[in-house]
Amino acid sequence: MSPTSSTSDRMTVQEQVVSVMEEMQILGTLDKLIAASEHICIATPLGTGDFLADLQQAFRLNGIETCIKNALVLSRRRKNIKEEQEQLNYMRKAQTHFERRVSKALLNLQTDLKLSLVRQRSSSEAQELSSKWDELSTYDQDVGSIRNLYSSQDLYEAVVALRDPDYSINRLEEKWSAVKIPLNVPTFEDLQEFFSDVCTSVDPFLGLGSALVLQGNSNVTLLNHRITLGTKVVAENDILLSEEFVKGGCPSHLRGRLWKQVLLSHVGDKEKTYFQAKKQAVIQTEYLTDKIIMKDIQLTASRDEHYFVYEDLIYQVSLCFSRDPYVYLQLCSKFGSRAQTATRFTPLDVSSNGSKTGTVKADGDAPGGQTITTSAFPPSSCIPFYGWAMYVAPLCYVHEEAEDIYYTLRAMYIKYWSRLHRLSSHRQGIVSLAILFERLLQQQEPELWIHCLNNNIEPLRIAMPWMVQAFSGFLIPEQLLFLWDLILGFDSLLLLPLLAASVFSLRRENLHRILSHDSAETILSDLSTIQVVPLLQMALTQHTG
Amino acid sequence: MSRITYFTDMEKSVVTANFVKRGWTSATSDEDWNFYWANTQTCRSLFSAESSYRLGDYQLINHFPNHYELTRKDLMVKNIKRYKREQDKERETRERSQFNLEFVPVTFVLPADYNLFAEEYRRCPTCTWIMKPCGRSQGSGIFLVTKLSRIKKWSNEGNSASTYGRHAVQASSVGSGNPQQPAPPRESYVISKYIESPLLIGGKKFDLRLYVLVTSFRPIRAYLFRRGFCRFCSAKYDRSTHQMDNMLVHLTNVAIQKQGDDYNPHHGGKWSVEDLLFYVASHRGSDAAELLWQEICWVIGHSLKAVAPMMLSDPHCFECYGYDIIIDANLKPWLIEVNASPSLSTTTNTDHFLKLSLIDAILNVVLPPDGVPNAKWNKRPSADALRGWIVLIDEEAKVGSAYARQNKGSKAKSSRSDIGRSK
Repeated sequence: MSPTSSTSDRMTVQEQVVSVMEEMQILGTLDKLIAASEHICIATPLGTGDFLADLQQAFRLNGIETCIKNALVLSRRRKNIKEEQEQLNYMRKAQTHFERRVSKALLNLQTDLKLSLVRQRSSSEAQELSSKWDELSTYDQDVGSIRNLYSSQDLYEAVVALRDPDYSINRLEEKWSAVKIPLNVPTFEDLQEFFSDVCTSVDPFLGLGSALVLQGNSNVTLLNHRITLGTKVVAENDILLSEEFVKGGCPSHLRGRLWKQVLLSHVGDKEKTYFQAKKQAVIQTEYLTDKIIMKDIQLTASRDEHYFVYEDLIYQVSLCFSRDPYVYLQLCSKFGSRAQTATRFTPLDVSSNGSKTGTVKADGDAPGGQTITTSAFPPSSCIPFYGWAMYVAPLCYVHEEAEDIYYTLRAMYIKYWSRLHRLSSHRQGIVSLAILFERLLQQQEPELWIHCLNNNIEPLRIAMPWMVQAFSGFLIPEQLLFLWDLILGFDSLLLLPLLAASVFSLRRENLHRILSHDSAETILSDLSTIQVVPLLQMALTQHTG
Repeated sequence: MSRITYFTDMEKSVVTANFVKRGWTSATSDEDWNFYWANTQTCRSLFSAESSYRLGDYQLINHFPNHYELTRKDLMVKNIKRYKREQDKERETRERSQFNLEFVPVTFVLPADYNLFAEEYRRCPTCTWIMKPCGRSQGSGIFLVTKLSRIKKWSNEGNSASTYGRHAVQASSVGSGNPQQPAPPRESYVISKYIESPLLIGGKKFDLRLYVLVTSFRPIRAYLFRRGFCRFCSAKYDRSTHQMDNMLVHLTNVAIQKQGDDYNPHHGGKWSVEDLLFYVASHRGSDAAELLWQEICWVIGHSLKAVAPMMLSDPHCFECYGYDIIIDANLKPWLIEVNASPSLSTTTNTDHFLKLSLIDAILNVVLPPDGVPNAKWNKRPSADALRGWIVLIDEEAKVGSAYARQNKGSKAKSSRSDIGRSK
């Protein structure tokens, strides 16, 4: 049970024990573990052999060792997370400005339509909503005149408008890329190294084709092999093992359990109660953002031929998500508490429209069991934009129950998706991803890049929605989930610009023939035939220049 | 052959576009056609005893003369019941098959089998039954029944179809009608056990529409189009009695669903079979999805074998059937009906593209390699021509023959991933 990495040498065993216990406290598993350990200690017979070895064996067999191992891994990761205060002034200003624009749009919407930001639902309304909870797609919310607050195009404009006052850009550079700030992004060689497993892993990736037969054993298809292996991995419940397995692509019906292990989004009774509380919050109070969320779902997920069957689930999950202050707290600790749109809405703003509520308070449970009161609008602090529902939709193929979808969404959003619509200098923020996309395309397809420049085609404008939505709504569900497997397994969003650039590479011949941006958009509008894993392999094994 | 001409009974863009693409021209009134995309009535009259028209070697038509053995609900049930009896007798000599031949819900023809039906009804008084007119389509005239009294009421009303259907009564046109009859003959109905626990996704009922191309019945050559779709109801499934008459909950026909308030024209309630199988694989396991697809293929295959002895396998004919299948909550597929003229109107872009590809794929299979309609051709399409199809039954292909090896890639037991690959 002793750790092997060198960083642990700096910590004594005592310190590690303390950090493991702290981590378990955070995860909420400490009590259960202690109880289980006591039980095993009592149950393990005093044989003639080494009691300690017997005990260790018993711990291993009962999964206690794995629990502790997981906690150690997580505590180490937690210690390595630095708070990401934005260091670059101009970036911070740009993000603040963007947030302000969004808030202003929201307030404009409110005054234009004469709706309140927050209001208590009348008991009849609450009754109606409650009875229609399972078919919210038919609940008439009169969202016809609601406008979406912003879309990935607005993000594109914002990214392209960024300027570093300390960096003077010459005329040639001005024309060369859409994004004109000098952020440090990984090179192609860095990517090749980081994602080398995609090309050289021992087992072929599932995304290559589930009917492939294994070398040396032609009776077993790749899918069956992955299923056998995956079932064992699920049983182990070891985070590192699960992450490694997920990289290679999950068999569809194991994906739910594997993602839960990797994202730590297990759903127990406490989680179910919490979700019910959010549901009640939705039923009792109406936020203006509810209407925006519903409008977005109507325009995106409900129209999508792959996801429309799940629209009712998507409504439930999205609305409850917007009431969850846990999201707000996590985002605050991640991005630094100053930079949150939510705090812009002081209690004064919210009540100034004459609604019944005074201050907006939302209660949330931090996982340690403390109750926290926050002021955020909406409570999750996530203002929906056009396409937000697409973060939720694909999860309906992964889980069946609303609670499972909810917690997976929450974990993924906090960990990954929140970076995709936030201006920051973080290596995996949308700005860096945009720069990386352009650099990759410039490096791998210089002729295509010149062709685009000469014909006023803007590749980033086309690729931006793909990256902001993590390709949801563009790839078919099976391929999209393979992509998200890779994102989870490698814990990196850098795959998004890589995939985007490789799509352009794939269609380079057709792109060379067209002469306008609109035609380029048409050529690249249908990604339903894209196979993610082969394309990424091709992209990573290309030679530069 | 200088010009290849086509003739159609109805204007369908997905059909004529494919003819024009091949350089064919529309036949003028005084010339013979090479390829006729007919509706079922004209085809029947063309082949009827009274007709003096004899089809030439270079003429193909898109229906079999007596397709109604499969496509009329009462005849289909009759043929399958007979087939099942024959198969059961051969149980000892039959090759091993785990597939249960009960794939059509218990059905009776009314008024002929009324007594048999009443006996069955009494065995399960709480069951729901569904009444369907034998010769109609698009969900017209269908209603649900829970009490025997409802049937008695229906039979007392004589030609009661007009009470329930939206369209005027269509006299059944099998065989020629006697013009001297004072009133149209009484429309026959079938009554089937209603599948009360269909598989629900998103709380809604759906059925599958699959396209099956048959180029001959002796030997049987049948192909399944890889791209089928599910048709969803727009209203949540509700078994309660007050929803018994709400056809938006129970009937999946697009013609019915289009009239609902919640019909969404963007997707038209159509979900691809690929997504359905992915859903099943994700929530029930890939084995379950694989088995479901295999059982669907078996259902179709057995239904064709059942009617094959009755069919006039005219070499000028081929037919593309629209199979309607419902999956119950235990993932068992049930054959509901077979359509001789599946709708070629399109509701969404995807739909349009699918039907355009379907006709193209049909032409690739029914035409010999030189592209000229030829009734004397041996009807053995190349593997390339079969792209987009799964070979359901090919009685001619003997195991080990070169022809069988050629088509190995598109055998019926393909997994879901194969369906996805051939886009």
